[in-house]
Amino acid sequence: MRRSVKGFLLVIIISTVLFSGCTAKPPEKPEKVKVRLGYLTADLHQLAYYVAKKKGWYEEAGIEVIPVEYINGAFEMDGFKANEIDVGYLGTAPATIKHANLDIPIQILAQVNNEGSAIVVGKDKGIKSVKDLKGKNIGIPGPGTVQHFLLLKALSQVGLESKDVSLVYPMPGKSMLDNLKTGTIDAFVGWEPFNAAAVEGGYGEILITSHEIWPSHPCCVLATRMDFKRNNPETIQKLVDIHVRATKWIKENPEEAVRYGVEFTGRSEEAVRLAMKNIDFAYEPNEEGTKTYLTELLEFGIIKQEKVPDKDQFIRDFFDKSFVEKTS
Amino acid sequence: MPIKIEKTTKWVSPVIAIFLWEILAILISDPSILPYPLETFKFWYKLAVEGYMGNTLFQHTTMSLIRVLLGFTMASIIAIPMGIIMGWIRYAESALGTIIETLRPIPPLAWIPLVLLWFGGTSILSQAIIIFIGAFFPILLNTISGVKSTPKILVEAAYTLGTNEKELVRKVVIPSSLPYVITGLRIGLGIGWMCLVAAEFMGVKNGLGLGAMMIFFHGAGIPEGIIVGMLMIGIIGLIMNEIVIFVEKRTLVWREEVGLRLGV
Repeated sequence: MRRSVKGFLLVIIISTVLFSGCTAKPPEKPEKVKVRLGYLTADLHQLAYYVAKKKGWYEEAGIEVIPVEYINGAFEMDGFKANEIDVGYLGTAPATIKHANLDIPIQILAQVNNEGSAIVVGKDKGIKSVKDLKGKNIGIPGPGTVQHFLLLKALSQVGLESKDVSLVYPMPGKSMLDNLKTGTIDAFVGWEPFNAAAVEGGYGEILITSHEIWPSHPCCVLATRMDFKRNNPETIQKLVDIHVRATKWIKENPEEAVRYGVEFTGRSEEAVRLAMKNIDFAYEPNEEGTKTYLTELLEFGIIKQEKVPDKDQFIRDFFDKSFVEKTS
Repeated sequence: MPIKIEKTTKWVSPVIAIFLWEILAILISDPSILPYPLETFKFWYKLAVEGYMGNTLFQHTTMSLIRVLLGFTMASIIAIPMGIIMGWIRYAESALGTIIETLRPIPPLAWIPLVLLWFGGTSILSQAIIIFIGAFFPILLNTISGVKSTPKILVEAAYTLGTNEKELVRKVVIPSSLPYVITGLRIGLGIGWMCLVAAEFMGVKNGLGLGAMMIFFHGAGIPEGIIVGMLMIGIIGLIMNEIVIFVEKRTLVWREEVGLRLGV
């Protein structure tokens, strides 16, 4: 009996020592924070995400990125709504429209790029100026997109109106190329790298860039679901830091960035090099440009007036610049 | 009296569906996911009367109908004569059968990438081709079945009476296979109409078409518009089906089977 008591005590002591040894031992690696990140298929504007991923900067910061690819920003906004993603790279247009109309609770953390779009015309269509677009079939991704407004702006700058042209939509980027190639559209308003791909393919030429139509117009942004930001401010700061770092790196290493661009988009080196010239990679939130855009969306009736009683307030709530400011 | 009751009971299921929709919308309480029926009907009215972004519901519907009817007509013109030939001439069936049976299981939507590459996708022809592919096979296969089902006794009687083959096909085989052809047309029209939405996703002029309209409202975050598009497609499909049944009833009233089925 006494022997069994001794044995029992021994077991207790040994297991206590072992157990305390286990708990006292510091973990070898801190657990990585998982972030579900949305981005758009082969959108050269969002190169910063790809660069950061390839360079291993997310891992370095202890973040495990679970990438979720979307074919357009409207679907990515549905992803935010359905809690499929925590942060995302997407266009200002779908972000603003669906945030306003459907109350999808997201906030813009940083700009991803400004400009980067253009009106591309078929080579044999005899279109030499914006005025020549009168009566032509022009492909746009959809009404209310930045590309749609760029076209309207370009037309109004030469005294034309929307009714002077035939708009063709909805149209994904690749579809624009196919249609221009087969001649079923005369021109399109696209984003990079599709514009450069049409030029490089020998069937399209750039009539006017978005820089010439609306300098520094907002394009893609980095956004987050508000609840994710609230619960993970440190992770958000790290993600913004990485985004800023990647954006600066692209600007400082244009040649190497082209290589990443080729990998990301699957387009040729020439097309990517040409496309990169038209994109202003940026991280400072473009509130002014977004406000101008919001005003036009309201005038056009795409965003319901009752959803935006005060434009300034809407923009203030829509942006959270604090993280970029801390990075800078 | 029974017909009167039937006319009333027809409306029971739509009323129940709307009621369930309302309950579901109340339970979800998020119109951005499922809008309320009343809001949707209001939007429907707005779309029909004022339009949205310069396009009315009537314009959207007309363009969609043109696309479907074009594709469907193309399919009928090719599939019916081809079906008669394949059903009547055994060698024709064995010669074409393999390729038909290989192409038939390919879903019409799987042709979209190729159509985009060949025709661009935004021309009315591209959209009609997708609808054509959807409508073609049911019409062809039903026509073949119809021709093959011609009662032997009719064929033999016609030969006995001294008719030639050309006349036999025209006066006996074709009329006898008509109920099958019409069934094929009905199925073909239904499938063609189902392909419409995908066909219009490729891009259409001025964004006109019910499919394009639904994609626009998805992008604009107006779910009421998506539901209106769905309901319009459903209702028009129903009307088109009723029209084919009406034609069937008128032209094939001699056929006892059809008469019984349609309650004539």
